[in-house]
Amino acid sequence: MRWVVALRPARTVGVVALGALALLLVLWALVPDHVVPPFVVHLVALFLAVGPAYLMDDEALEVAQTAPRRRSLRLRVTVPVGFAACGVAWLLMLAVLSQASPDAPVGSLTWQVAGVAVGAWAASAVLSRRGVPCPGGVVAAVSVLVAFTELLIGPLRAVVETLTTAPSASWWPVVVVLAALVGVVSCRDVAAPRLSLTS
Amino acid sequence: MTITPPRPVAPAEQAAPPVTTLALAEARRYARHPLFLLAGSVLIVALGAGLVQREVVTVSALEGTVAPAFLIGVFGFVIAHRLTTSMHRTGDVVGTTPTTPLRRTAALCLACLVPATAGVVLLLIDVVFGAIWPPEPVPPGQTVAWFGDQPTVPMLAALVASIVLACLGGPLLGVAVARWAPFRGSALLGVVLLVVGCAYGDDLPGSWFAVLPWFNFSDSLVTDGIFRASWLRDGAIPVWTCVYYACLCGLAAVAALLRDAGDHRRTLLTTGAILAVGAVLAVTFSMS
Repeated sequence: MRWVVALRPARTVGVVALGALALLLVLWALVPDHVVPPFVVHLVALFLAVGPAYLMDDEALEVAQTAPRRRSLRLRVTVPVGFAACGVAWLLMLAVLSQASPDAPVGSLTWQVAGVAVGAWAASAVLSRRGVPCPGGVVAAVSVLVAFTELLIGPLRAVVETLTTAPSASWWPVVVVLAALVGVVSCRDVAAPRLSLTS
Repeated sequence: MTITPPRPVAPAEQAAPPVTTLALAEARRYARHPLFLLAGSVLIVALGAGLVQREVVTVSALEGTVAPAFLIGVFGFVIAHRLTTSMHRTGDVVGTTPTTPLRRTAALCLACLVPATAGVVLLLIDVVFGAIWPPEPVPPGQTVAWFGDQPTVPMLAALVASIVLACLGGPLLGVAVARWAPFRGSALLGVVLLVVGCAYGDDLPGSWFAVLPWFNFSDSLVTDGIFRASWLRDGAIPVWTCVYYACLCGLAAVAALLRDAGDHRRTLLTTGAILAVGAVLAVTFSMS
């Protein structure tokens, strides 16, 4: 039963992942020449990527923080399962993309999906630590808006294309690592001892 | 002696504030929302860059309307959704206020005039600065999808449809989605479907792109990454598209109000039916 409770937030990530996969398949079926434009692929990939924002949702956050069973223990199940669901969905999407959009830059797209996914989760973790019970909705919506803004608006799009397509564009791995650090630190229990450089 | 207990008064029966008062309160909340301020800041920065370069309106003028349509319209979808669902999050408190859900929804719909006003301001800025520094094709002499090169009425209709009505329609749709589908993730799903639908549908064959809730009204000649010329796109008549978008906005408002229509259900359904017929006729005329 504990596992079911722990996996509840991951269910939303699974729904988002299935939604993204279904959307890609529908677009692939509907597009006249059965080749989905890379721009649309990008939009669908970002939809999948913001799913982990829902991993920190907990209606009973205030109670959970005072419960004997620490919340961080539950998150040790929720977070990996949620990211695994997201990863499996991305692998399935890559398999579809090999047929549906052969020209899509899957390498840079994979890093971008990883960066946005970990970043969205980290943002949710920070908000959750600050007492917001269900930060997923607002973080996911804002993340997708920001990501779409980069894609749609000219000057910003130019900046992003430069950053993601240049050979030296190694900033997505940096985003992944930094966001993961922020997320992990924010997932610690509120009552846990503060991190200190001196023991 | 018997004491007659006072008749319990339902919240809605108490002195209910007029819808305009509620609408003003919601409009203030909308105008102060961080996402609206963020979108406004991005547009102001873009306008500042255009002023410095003396090129507020470029050769790809109508293609540039994607910025206000997205930043005010699609952001507005999320803002309106958040404002509407905030009634669910504070249901216990909201339930004690002397008003009805229908009036609150009507107030939220009226608050969507804030982004519409922003759209009007952006349209005026475009028109004024487009007249001061008209877009110049490369090489000179080619056509540009702007006043002067294109007929005035279709050009103005294209701008109203792609800026003002987009800025109004997105938030109204946000209210409607939040009233009917307040489940977790409905804002995310709405944004994705709206943007992906418009991005995907732009390549639909024939005139079917005119059915979309937003599309680019211009075609452009681009060589070496530079916009050389542009013109109003074939396949959609801007004036009829403007009417179609206005009907869609009305339908979104009616859909939002229908959730708690009560005694007004029949009136709203009739209005919705008229707007739906109007939308179908307008889009048919636009495509013909």
